[in-house]
Amino acid sequence: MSAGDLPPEAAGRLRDGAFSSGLSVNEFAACLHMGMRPVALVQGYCVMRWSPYSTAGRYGYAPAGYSPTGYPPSSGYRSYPGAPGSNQIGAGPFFNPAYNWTPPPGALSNYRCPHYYTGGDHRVWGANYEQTWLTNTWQHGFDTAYARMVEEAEEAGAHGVVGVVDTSSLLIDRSIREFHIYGTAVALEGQPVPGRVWTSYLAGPRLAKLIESGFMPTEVVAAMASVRSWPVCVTESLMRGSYFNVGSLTYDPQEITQISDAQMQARRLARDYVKRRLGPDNLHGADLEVGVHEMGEGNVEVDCILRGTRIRRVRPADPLEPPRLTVRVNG
Amino acid sequence: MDDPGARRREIRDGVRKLAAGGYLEGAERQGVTSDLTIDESLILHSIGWEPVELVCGASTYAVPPTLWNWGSGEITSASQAYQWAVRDAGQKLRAECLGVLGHGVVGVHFDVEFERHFVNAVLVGTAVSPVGDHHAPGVPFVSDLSGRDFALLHQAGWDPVGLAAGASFVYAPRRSARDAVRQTAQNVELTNYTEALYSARESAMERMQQTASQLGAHGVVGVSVSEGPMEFAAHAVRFAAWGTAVRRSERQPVLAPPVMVLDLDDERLAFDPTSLRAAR
Repeated sequence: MSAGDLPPEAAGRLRDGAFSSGLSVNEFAACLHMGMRPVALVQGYCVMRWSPYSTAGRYGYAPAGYSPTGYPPSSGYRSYPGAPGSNQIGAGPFFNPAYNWTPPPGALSNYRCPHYYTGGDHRVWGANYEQTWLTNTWQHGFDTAYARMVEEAEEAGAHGVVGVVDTSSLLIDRSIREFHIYGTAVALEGQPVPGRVWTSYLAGPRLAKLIESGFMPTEVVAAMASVRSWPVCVTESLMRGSYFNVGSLTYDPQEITQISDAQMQARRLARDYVKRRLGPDNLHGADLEVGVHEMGEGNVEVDCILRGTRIRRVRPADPLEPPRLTVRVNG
Repeated sequence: MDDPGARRREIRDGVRKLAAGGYLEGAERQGVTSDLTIDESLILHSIGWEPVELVCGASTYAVPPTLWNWGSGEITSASQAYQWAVRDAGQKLRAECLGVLGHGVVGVHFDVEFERHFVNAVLVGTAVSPVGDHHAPGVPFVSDLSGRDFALLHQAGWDPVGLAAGASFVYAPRRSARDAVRQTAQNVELTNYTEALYSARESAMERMQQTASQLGAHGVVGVSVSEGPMEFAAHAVRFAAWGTAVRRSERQPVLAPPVMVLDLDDERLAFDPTSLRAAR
């Protein structure tokens, strides 16, 4: 099923009969007050499957050491093309191939082993990289479900969709998810149907306040970023609670830079992706959802979803009076 | 705006402008992201401030190897790891704020996860600045106060200066074999735990206040605390306290005395905005 082929039953239901709505009575009353008439509860679905080998994290069940990027390969940290020590398995004492190392391509950040001695299973390099194959699939699922919801709203002759709710829930197993987006399509009496339906997470009094303050919602936006950390020796040891391999001369707490970076990178990427969809508009009421999946010491996946309502200023700002304090004496 | 007719006209006007794709202002700049509610945005604007960007700071610190279940006194390395993780996350948050020319960060979500081998601190909030002020300040403030609380504080003539946090991890020493046997069938106070919690509280609160003093603050408002045992350590307790350090500013307070209001609505029928589902 693709966008543009609404089931005939749905088209008939949306055109005729009583209206349906996902609004609470409060929201319904506020909509009527604003001159918006609910026309239908509109929905979009999309079921996406990630390849089972896409990740060992939240969206798949590959072995913890597997990586679709080809590095580090399952055979270890020394054997991707150009990897330090690729021809020197089990490099001997006082020789660390990481000192002449070219970082693997495409990583967000790279980390090098600081030690003089490296054994055969010593992780002489580490990298944080973005799992674009997870992100793209998530985005495709969200965008497709969204487009299908909007298509229903257009069929119902609506101007906008308010009170949008989006969920992504597991179906059958970890690598399959259903994206479900729904909201209440509303029409403005006596207005020609616009070329494009606007959508908003807000409904009711909050939407009214947004409009009164000079903004109009244009669409709901969401973006996902997923960052995987392949730990270097130091990260692995510190996350394991072992200071013995780190080479530190003190027992002071140390920052695990690679993990700190992964946490920051996932959030920043999600924000950047949302900003790409904003243009000069603003994102209102951002909601940041973060999931951290640990597959081993330092072998961490940070998934981040940022969503909110894209809003556009259509009237000059008209600041409220500074607030006045009130004390309720109702007892 | 109480006139429904005016509100409808405004919506129709807005829809027309949206359909035309017109941008009233800001077309030359990048969009702004914010996790403030519409109420917070409006109240900030009423005192001349606006959101600039959603910013974050994260820091993970390793906790040096510790015998979590045997010992007495404070587990200094764990306390330090907690403090330093929060401190570094705050510094990164400030750096992000400066990068977008924000004057401070409000509504910071204080999220600290403590595990046996590491502590992970993540701070996320909305950078704000005075409307139209595109000059970076010297040191931006960080605050976990909501937009509403920030506005109230501002009107009252006080400024947030930073997040003050303190933590302490303390051993609850094991009872002697004699005490353990003697108390087996008794209802008694476990003084080792009471004393450990007292000690952890005192140290953590003192560190929080010290941090506030180092920031040049006069006090800390909105203090939250987190305390209790840890899954992996039955003989150690933790206590953490954090809040927004505030300083009296040179501005004159502009708050008028509060107006007394008597609601005539029946409480049960009063509109409850928290009942709305689509709260974003």
